[in-house]
Amino acid sequence: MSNIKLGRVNMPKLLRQMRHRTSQVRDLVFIRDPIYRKETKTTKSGGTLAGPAVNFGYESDSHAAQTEGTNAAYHADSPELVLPGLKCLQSPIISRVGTLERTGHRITGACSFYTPSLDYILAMDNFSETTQFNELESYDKLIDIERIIERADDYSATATSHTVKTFADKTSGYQLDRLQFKIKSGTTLTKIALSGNEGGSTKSLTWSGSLALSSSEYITIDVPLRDLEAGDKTSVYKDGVRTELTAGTDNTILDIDKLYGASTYDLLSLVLTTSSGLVELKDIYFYKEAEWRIEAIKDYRDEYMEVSAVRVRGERGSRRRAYG
Amino acid sequence: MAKDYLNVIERALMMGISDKINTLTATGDDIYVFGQFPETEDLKFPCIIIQQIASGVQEKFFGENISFGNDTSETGEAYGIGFMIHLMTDRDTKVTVGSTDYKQRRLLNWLMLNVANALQDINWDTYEEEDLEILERHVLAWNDIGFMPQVDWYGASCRMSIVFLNKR
Repeated sequence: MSNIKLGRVNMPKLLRQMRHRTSQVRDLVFIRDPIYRKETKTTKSGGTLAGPAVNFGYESDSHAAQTEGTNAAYHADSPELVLPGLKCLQSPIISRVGTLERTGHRITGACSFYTPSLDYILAMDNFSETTQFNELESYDKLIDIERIIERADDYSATATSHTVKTFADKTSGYQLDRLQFKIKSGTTLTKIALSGNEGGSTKSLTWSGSLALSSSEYITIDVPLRDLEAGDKTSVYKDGVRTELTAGTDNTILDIDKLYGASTYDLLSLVLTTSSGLVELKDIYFYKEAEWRIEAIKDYRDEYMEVSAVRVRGERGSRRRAYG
Repeated sequence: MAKDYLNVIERALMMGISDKINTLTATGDDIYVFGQFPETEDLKFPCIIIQQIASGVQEKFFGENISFGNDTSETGEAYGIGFMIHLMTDRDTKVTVGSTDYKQRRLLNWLMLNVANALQDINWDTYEEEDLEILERHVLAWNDIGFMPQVDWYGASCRMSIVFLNKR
């Protein structure tokens, strides 16, 4: 990044120094939802529709390129972006306002993030390498670790099955939104399995795929844990290249909202599966997220950006525990 | 025993819609019906929310004695009850009907027609928890069909009214 103008403020250096003194410097996960292609039609009974494909407007389940009709380039492949490691200064750090609405009670909030300049972000790991990211946009998501609910010790072993965490009896799961960890290995990660005890039977949530890891640098993996069905997808980026992970189960899919902390409704373990070799993990967090949506961006060119963000989704833990 | 027609009709309406519309989807377990606006943590999509917005005497009979069927000894009147039926679905929810996947506006279109059909077809005898005599039902047009970008929800609402025999 030697050719990046850091400006008089030198925001990256400021963030590095401030993070030792205040927790207002946050390590965020940048998420942009996939852009799904639209349902289209090019044929009619007994023939082809005249003109380009008719676009019905609603989305299909695929973000892949679309080549129907005469205008073949109207949708490029646009999968979800999940890029951890965006350091920002947040003010205020937690903004939470309960609002009574027709649909009950909703948690909202607003804050500002101060980020390094766009040039600096564009030169960061993953951000620089994927062809999909060009700037922060309104409605992009910034996921913050609001509170670490469970954490695991650093892990290092040579094996194919890695029990990274065995939870204490009666460890509840309903507060967990996501799992984040850093991993370094010359192996390939094939499965992340979180298991729990739901009503006396062991259930699991697995993220499966084939992710070639790096033996020289840690890769940050951040996956969702709630409201999942078998077949749901998430993404891990390494050097700007996306690996798709698919949700599944080893038995019956786990609904962690139901794990309220009794001995028959609790978390059991986190197990990773890799090809054979040395695997090192650190910074293993099971956390409650704060989902911020970017609403406005002020770009001070070479210096920094001020990003106004709002929180439109939020849930009370008491209700999440009660309703499961 | 005190009459409880408003609750009986409201509950029958919800049961009837859910029972009918969920038989049309591939899993038979896709569409949630709520009797009031659910709390955020309890909200699931797609959902149908039944909101009672009005009730009152529709038409009094001359002399107030009624003689429907064998009920010659009772008094009463035609009583009306009005509902708003709200449909909501979010951007990601998918419902499979037959072999076709429905999402977003397509799902909303499907729901509007099939909820209207369910409203027209409810057999009150099946769902009533107290003997009902429904005289009329009117389903009006769907309106406020649209998208809320702040929360990624698609929705529509319609009014309906039911007139029943309020015997006592």
